[in-house]
Amino acid sequence: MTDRYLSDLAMLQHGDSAFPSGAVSFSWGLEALVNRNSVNDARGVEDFLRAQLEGRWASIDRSILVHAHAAWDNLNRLVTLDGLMDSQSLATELRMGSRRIGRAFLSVHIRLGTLGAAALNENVANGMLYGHAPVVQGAIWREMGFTAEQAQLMAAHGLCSSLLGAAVRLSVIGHFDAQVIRTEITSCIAEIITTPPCKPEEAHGFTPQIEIASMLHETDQSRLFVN
Amino acid sequence: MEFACDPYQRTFLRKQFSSYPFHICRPLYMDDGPSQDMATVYIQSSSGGLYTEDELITEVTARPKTLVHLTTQASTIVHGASRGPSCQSTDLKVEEGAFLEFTPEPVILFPNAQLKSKLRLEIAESASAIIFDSFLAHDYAGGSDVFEMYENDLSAFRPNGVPMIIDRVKFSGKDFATGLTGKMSAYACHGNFFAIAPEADIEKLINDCRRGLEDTRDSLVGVSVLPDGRGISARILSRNAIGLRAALIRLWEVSRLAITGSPPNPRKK
Repeated sequence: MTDRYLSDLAMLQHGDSAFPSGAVSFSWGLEALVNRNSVNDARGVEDFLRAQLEGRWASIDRSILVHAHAAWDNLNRLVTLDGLMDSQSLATELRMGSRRIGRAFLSVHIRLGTLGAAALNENVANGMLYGHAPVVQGAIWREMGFTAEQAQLMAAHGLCSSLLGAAVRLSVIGHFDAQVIRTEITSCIAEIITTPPCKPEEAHGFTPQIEIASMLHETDQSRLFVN
Repeated sequence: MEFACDPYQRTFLRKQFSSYPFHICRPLYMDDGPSQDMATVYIQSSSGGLYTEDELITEVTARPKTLVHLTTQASTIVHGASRGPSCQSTDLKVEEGAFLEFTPEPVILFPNAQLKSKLRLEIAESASAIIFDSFLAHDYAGGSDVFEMYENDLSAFRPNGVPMIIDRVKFSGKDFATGLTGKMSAYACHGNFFAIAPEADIEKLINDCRRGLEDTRDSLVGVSVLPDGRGISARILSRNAIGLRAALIRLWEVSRLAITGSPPNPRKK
């Protein structure tokens, strides 16, 4: 029973928005849509979050995460997964955002003394890996003893917290709205995780409005967020 | 189709084989200046589009230093799938120093259409390419019925198998009809544009594309640098086919200028 408590507590710690993952600087295209008035209320934020989860996270990031979790000690496979993630991230800011979060994640785990973090970081530094977030999260969380299911829950929750936090800071919604949306979206996350992830070589996504927003964000004058 | 250069460096169609419903037109030379030797080939269909259980395959090789422009004369209708999906696959191979443009008109997804489309580009380090890829939905009865499923797998690889671009889409008509913010929202047409241009000044190209698209009406267009920094990708959402086409043509003109030093002449359709 103690082991279970320890595992649950570790999950709460590492999936918490207070964990310094670097995700706080990212809006994943939301800022550009808010700037263009394409998202201006709670309904818009919920749709945006649903599109991120269903249209990209479920069928690309999650697939890479789960397969990196399984291949945590196989560098060649991690390199392949990292390359697939990179070539499927065509908007520069989304691609660089995922790399930056991965690197920040590794940096924190090195300081926490997590096994495997320093070695992975060395492979990022020497150019073997870009260090995309789902790849390093999958490998490190497995090293820490989390199951693939727990890794998915933490990643999905992290994405939701990060996006809803961005929406609050952009003043589109308040803190209470954020909790209403988070509650509404819970069944969506559960449904996604219940479905087996696709093979990374078959990973697919379709969030064109988000990608275009991120591309437009590259030249926006007014920016609170990195993407 | 296999394209090669003749002794005067003019690109010609060295090998061709086609069967129903394809019709390959004779090469035309429609450009001036640095692209005057570019072979333009229209691929036509003698059927009324893509039907249920169709499986159409196109294979094209552009040998070293060839200049090729491949296009279709009109949009391709994808009819309702009564017995199963309509499938098409396109394999493009662009060898060292060659430049291939593949600019098909959009596919039009009719109610209940199921399309599985695959485009694979193998491109040498010193080669260039411009690719269009677009679709729109239309209910010919004037109602609001939509397609069943759109699956599109577009990828570009180096000859050693390293992926440069992967854009794999599975999009249901149900999702299209919902018009979810973040996906297609209320837009009716979607387009992808890729320019792989190893010799071009990418920063100038992307800035010129953005300037050229400033007056694009009814469309939302984003342009970004490819992961390896040797080209650009653009994504377009448009309220109508006119806006979609205008954005694609503008991106093509600017990218052709960056790759060859001269803009293209219009292709009549």
